[in-house]
Amino acid sequence: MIFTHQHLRGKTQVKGDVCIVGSGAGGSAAAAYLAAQGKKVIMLEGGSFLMPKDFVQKEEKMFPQLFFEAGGRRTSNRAIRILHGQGVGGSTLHNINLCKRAPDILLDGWHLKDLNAQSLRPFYQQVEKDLMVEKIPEELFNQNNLIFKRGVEALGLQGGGLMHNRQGCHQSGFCELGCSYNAKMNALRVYIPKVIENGGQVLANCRVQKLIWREQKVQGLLAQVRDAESQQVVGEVEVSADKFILSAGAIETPALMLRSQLPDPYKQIGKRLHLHPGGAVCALFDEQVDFTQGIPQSYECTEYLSFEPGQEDKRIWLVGGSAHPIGVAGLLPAFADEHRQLMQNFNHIASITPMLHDTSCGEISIDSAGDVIIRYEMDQSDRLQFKNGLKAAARILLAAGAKEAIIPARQMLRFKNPQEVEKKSFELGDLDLDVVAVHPMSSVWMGEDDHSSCVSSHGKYHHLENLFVADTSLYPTSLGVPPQISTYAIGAFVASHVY
Amino acid sequence: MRKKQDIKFSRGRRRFLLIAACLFPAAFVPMRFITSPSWPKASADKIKGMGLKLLGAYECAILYHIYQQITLEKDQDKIIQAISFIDWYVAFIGTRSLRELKMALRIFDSIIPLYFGKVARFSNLTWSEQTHIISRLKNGPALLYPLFMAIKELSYLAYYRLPENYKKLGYAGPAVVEGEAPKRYNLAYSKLLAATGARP
Repeated sequence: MIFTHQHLRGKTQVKGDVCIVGSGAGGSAAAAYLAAQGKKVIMLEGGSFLMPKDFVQKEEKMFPQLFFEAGGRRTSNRAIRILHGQGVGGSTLHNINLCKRAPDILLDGWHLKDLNAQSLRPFYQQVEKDLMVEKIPEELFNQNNLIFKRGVEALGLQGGGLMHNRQGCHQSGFCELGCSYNAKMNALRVYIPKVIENGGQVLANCRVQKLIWREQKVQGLLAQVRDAESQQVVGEVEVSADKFILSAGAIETPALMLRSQLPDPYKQIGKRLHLHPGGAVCALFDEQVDFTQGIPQSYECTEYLSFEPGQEDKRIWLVGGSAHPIGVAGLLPAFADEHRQLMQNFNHIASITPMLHDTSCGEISIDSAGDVIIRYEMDQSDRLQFKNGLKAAARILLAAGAKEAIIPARQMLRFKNPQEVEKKSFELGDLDLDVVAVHPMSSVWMGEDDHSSCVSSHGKYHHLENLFVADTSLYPTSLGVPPQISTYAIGAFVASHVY
Repeated sequence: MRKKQDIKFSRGRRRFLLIAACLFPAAFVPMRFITSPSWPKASADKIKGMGLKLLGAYECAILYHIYQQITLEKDQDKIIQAISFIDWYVAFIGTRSLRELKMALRIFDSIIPLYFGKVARFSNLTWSEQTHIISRLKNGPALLYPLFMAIKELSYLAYYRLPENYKKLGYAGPAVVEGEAPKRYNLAYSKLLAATGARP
């Protein structure tokens, strides 16, 4: 069953075979696998248990429920906003259901002993079957994606429709605020019920503070129960288990490991953070661009993305943006009258997001209070790629018929035609553009050598016997594609090696 | 060799830090005690009496002015409601971000006007002086800009949460009515929830 802060007031002690921290893609797939093997699974989730009735399609109400720090978490230099999910189901509650496997060449390029394209394939297949992954038919694309497609085709670039995990979609366009119609085939709908059916328990509103370990084994963990509304601590939970799996995402997983002062002789935990930094390029159209009709992010442009050796200068993936007033208002650099005038075009703004397959490495650390510090700066190569991605998005929007393309930087960059995009030179400092990252990863990465990696290719932490990691932290490099489906698959893959 | 924009950024940062280091003890501390933030008289009691949870009255007074500048909202009651909403919202942004926000508001009131040559609190400046300062922030030191952006995001969050404001954009708002979700979507999930009073 699912227990919330209302059930967990005061002190609670729980015992199970496997304790899983986090209930997103990796954690839920691992939990479902282990529960089906007859193991008693205890899952802890920092966020709330939300049902379709709770997804009220209001940004100001959903941000605090669905995102860490209400979506305001940033790198320490404040240059990049990091949106990572919380709630029973983790980031699969708010993501837009993109299902794109990591390419074989990338997986094999990790040179791991047991995890490669071939070994992961059956897990991908099973997950895609469970989540009913299907290609989105063009007639269901929203207007923004149709414009995007038009621009890509006008320029003769490589692009195509995307696969999603959704069934019974109402095409309301509120996907990133959770689905009110229960159409997302996500962790909450697919895997959590399987865990519970097999005797598992999910403890929501439980923020894990510390792992307790001795003699090379994790003995248990301590969590605080927080009231969902006031955020006040209302209880404590202590869990003991034989095995522990961390699936709290690439920010919280290393933070928990650091707070717990786990043995880390080579100081690896938290290093090598990748973020898939993304920007937004907007454009004004004469036609109406209604984001509330049709499916968002249903089309991609892969012209500037390649995983082939020698093509390292192609590291930009382009996908349609998604917009509601509060998000757009925060993005636009102006204020007062100028901002109002821009917002008046709200229903005529299309947008494309360039996402960077980054090579820059950041770091997760904690301060004396145990709060997370995220350090990340793009290196010169990534900066250049990112800028090229912004320009490519502007060219596509103009080719699709935009009156004007806008990069909402500190000094707003406006382009009336493709020639201006090419000619206008601009440099973007760290704080000049609102960069958003929705895919933190690689902070507890896999490798066979304990000197240069954190966990084995089975996800087992090198320095403790019974601790595993099963989330985006594992990826040794940036993935270059949305990580959802890979994270489910790797979650199940790790679980298959726990016993 | 470092690129030009990096050098520019570093100079800006150095300049800001130098000025801040000089101004802080010289101006911020006395200003904190000698003058007090001003807010429209009619609103003072309402703000103080609205049962603030996390923001102090001082921070709310500064927010009052910035919110008004950013959104051009004129209705005092609506501004107070917006501040009350922000006070509720910041419970979720994390202790670190909350600390930074409070600091940002204080810097906004005490340091930023000095940086732009005004020896007064932001909240004591005239409307046009305040507008002028916010406009210049776009070209000011890189480190000040994120402070403004953080406050601006919260302001628009509060402003565009209201149907009367987002409907002006042609945005229809939620397609579901809060509290009236069809039962069929929730039924399966209700069964997953432990009974009232149950313990794991």
